[in-house]
Amino acid sequence: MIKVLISFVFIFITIPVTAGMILGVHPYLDHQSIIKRFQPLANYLSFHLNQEVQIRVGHTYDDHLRTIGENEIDIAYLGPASYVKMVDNYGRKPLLARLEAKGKPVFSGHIIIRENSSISTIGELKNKYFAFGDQNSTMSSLIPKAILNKHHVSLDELSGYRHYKGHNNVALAVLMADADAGAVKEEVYEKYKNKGLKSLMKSPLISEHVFVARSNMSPTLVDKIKRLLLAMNSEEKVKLYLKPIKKSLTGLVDVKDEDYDSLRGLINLKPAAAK
Amino acid sequence: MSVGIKTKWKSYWLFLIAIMLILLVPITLVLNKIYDRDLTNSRETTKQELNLLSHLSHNLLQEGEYDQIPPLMEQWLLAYPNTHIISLKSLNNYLISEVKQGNAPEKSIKNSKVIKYGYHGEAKLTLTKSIDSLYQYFYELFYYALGIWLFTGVITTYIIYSLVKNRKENNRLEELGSQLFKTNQQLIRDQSLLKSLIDSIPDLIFIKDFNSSYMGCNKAFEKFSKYTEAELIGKTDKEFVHSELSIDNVNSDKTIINSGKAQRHEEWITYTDGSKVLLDTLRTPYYDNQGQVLGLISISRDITEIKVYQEQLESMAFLDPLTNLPNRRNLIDKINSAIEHADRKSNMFGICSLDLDGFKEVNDNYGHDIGDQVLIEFASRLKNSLRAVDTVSRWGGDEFSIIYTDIEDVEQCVNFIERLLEISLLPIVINNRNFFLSASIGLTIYPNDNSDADTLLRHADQAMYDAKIAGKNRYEFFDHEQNKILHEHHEKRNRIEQAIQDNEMVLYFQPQIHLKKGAPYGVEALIRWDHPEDGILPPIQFLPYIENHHINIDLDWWVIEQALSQLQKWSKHNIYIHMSINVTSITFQNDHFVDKLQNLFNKYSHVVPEMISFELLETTALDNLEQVSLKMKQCQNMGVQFSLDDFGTGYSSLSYVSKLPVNVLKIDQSFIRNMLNDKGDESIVEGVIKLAAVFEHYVVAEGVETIEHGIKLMEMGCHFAQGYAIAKPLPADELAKWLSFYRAPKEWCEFSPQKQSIGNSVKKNVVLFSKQG
Repeated sequence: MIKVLISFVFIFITIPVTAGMILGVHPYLDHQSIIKRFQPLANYLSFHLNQEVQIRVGHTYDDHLRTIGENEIDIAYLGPASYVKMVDNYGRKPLLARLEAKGKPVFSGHIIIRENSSISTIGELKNKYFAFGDQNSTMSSLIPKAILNKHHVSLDELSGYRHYKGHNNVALAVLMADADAGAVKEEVYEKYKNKGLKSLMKSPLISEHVFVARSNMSPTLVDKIKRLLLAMNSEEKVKLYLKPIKKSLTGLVDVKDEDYDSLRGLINLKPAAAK
Repeated sequence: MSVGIKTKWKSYWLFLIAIMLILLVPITLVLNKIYDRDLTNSRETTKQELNLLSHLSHNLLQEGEYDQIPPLMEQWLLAYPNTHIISLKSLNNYLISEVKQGNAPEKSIKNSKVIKYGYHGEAKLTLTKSIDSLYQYFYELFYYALGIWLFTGVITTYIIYSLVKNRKENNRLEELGSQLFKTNQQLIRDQSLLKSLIDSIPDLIFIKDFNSSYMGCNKAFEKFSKYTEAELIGKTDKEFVHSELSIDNVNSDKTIINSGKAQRHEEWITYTDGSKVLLDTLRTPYYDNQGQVLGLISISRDITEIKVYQEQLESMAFLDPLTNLPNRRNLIDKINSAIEHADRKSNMFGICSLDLDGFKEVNDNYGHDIGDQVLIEFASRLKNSLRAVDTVSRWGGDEFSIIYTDIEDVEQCVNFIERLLEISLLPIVINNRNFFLSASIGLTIYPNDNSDADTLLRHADQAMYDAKIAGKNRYEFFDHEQNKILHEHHEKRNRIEQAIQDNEMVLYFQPQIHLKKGAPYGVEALIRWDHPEDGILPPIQFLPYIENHHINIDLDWWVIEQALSQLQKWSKHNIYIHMSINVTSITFQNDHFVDKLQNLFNKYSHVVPEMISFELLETTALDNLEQVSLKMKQCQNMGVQFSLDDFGTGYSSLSYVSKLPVNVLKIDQSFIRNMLNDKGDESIVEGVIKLAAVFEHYVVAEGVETIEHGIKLMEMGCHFAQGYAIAKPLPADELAKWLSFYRAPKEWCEFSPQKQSIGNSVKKNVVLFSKQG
């Protein structure tokens, strides 16, 4: 009888508070869409880690970075620009894996102009109107701004600029002559290049989106999560867990902090010191 | 036509034309007015729509959301079905978007508007709208107006005509006389035409008056009677045929005339040359305008050929064309007659179904012509071996049926059958070649087999197939018991199929534990039938009836889906547990197994494939190990695992273990149960565990019923256990409670140093079965 009573006590002590983990994602889409895309992966991790993995969507990009930096999130998903910014502000985090899309873990973009444009160098963009994408977009905002900067063209020296929603609208703005130039990712450039666009400059290759762990996670657990993510190398697993996130994904691959040095160089950040 | 009438008609037409012309003017004016008004309205509406669309487009252009322009236009087309094309082009001639619907209209209205936006943006929006429906409406309106115009004109003309008519009365008589003359001429022509028509008819036709005197006949009757019409008119049959026949004819005529009713009959007529014809004769009275009978008309048709054909067809319907034996249709009638006869006489008859052994080779080697001759000869022998009261028929091919009637006991029929077998063995000589055949005969006896004709034949046939299988050149009696069993099986299968549809099937779950850790790691899903009358039935009471049947496949998929559904429900309560599901080889080897499984995982997205393990029965015959292995690997790529169930009971254990990519071996409970008392079983269990270790498989012991079993298994190195010592199979809601409260026996915990604490064992997640784990 006493043993039963003791068991009951333990039950009520242990059940209400669950260990659980948090998978954090930046708000690149609406809340529900992100939950739907990442749920299969969260389920997979829950099963193998023997604990529930919940998805948390950041309120803003900065909020997302802060929660990662302050170790409120166990596993975080970040874009490359957000990653280098996070490391710069909060220091390195254990790297787990990065995305591989269409067989490559890197991607690039283009500065675009119209086919019949007379512009031939980045410097000639002074006094021209420029179309950027979302403010937080790596390839259509942060990197082109860095490229302009590198070529000594400040935003004030443009005749004007505007942030459009999405890469497609940037391309259309240039085609419709609402802007003289713009910045888009590779696949959008490929889509519109036969419709009257040409590339003024191609950006350097940038490492893909990345998964990181909180810095105070045990090495054993980090290693386990890393192995779980890198185990997604079969067509069936990619179809079940990664395609819902992005249709072009073909797997998850290993990653080092140095893979983001090219991006750092571009946006004038020093490589982070290894801890 | 008279001059007066011509004049009348001419003025009538002139007046009609004048009226129509006068009416034309207002109708045309009205139609024109309606057209102008509607066209103007259409143009105005189009302009308003363009303004609205340009306003919406402007907002999107202003916001830089160019990619939303095409969806806006698509929506517009749906909302305004008459819109044919919408296009938006930038100032520098870049076509931002163009959408169209439907075929190019014949008539349309096109409007454009320039939209200015942003800093210096300009785009031209063009809207093309179909007005075909407007024109369609006009065409319809035009036809209505035309109808009204014509109707009015005709009415007006009629009124005028009536007014004119009274003034022309004196012309009417002249016209009447002219018409009478024409009618008379017409009658003469009609009479001549009718005579020609009747003469052309090949049937024998004559007409008689009230006194049975001929009034006329046609050419065919002249030829038949050998008298001309002129010779017949006014005379009776007394003058042409012998008195007896003529009296009959007159009496027959009087009967028809007096009764006023037609008569029809068939009669054979013999010609003087001895040839015969069959005539179908109709005699009917004819009347005057007051309904008085004036005489009768007779029409006779030669149906001799038709009769012959009819008899031939009847013959074909009931006889086999090759052997002239009764065919199946005929046979059923004869069996029914035999049943009546046997019931009346209180005796028996036998139905035999005979199939020639070796006949196919005769056909294949010597051709169908020889085959047919063999059959004819054999049919003849059969017929000669029967009594007059018996019947032999041919069904087709080399199958015959025999009704052996009026027998007092079964032995009598058996003696007959044995004689038939001897007859079948005698060589058949065709074209100096000997053909050696034999017979397989099936037999059933009425009323021992108290069935209807069709069923008796079927039973005899079934027995014949048994004779063939048993080795041919023999006979077999129909087995009632076996037939009864077959029926029962069929009904049981139907009931099981209904039970699946009516949700009478349920899943129970038997826990499996990790022996060394003493904690649950998974469950096996087990089917039960919640029968409305008999309660919960185990699978042994219904699965054998559907083995290798398509219902088995349906049930397997039902189990798989229910298992995934249950896992999904549990996961929402934070219970993540491994589940073993039994699947039969007929289901697993189906072409679409992997795709269907993928679809289920997509449907139950909270279930991770690593949670599932399929159990394949080790005794199951797998047709193509290579294909099966490939399919297993495809499933394993998803994360699913496989185990061989009832291991040790099959005859191909080692080849399965080495060739198939299984993850687990499940030792059959029969070995586990006896291993403490039987050295042989103990050795087998130990051997399996060691074999598993060599192939790096895990081992699950089934049927662990006591604590001692568990200890022994741990000593041998077994990993997992399942059985009544742990838990019996439980319904889903009871399992959840069981997981919370389960404690491994103290003796097991003491045996193994790696036990979990009491607090951890109530944790929602359990030890998961994983090769990496």
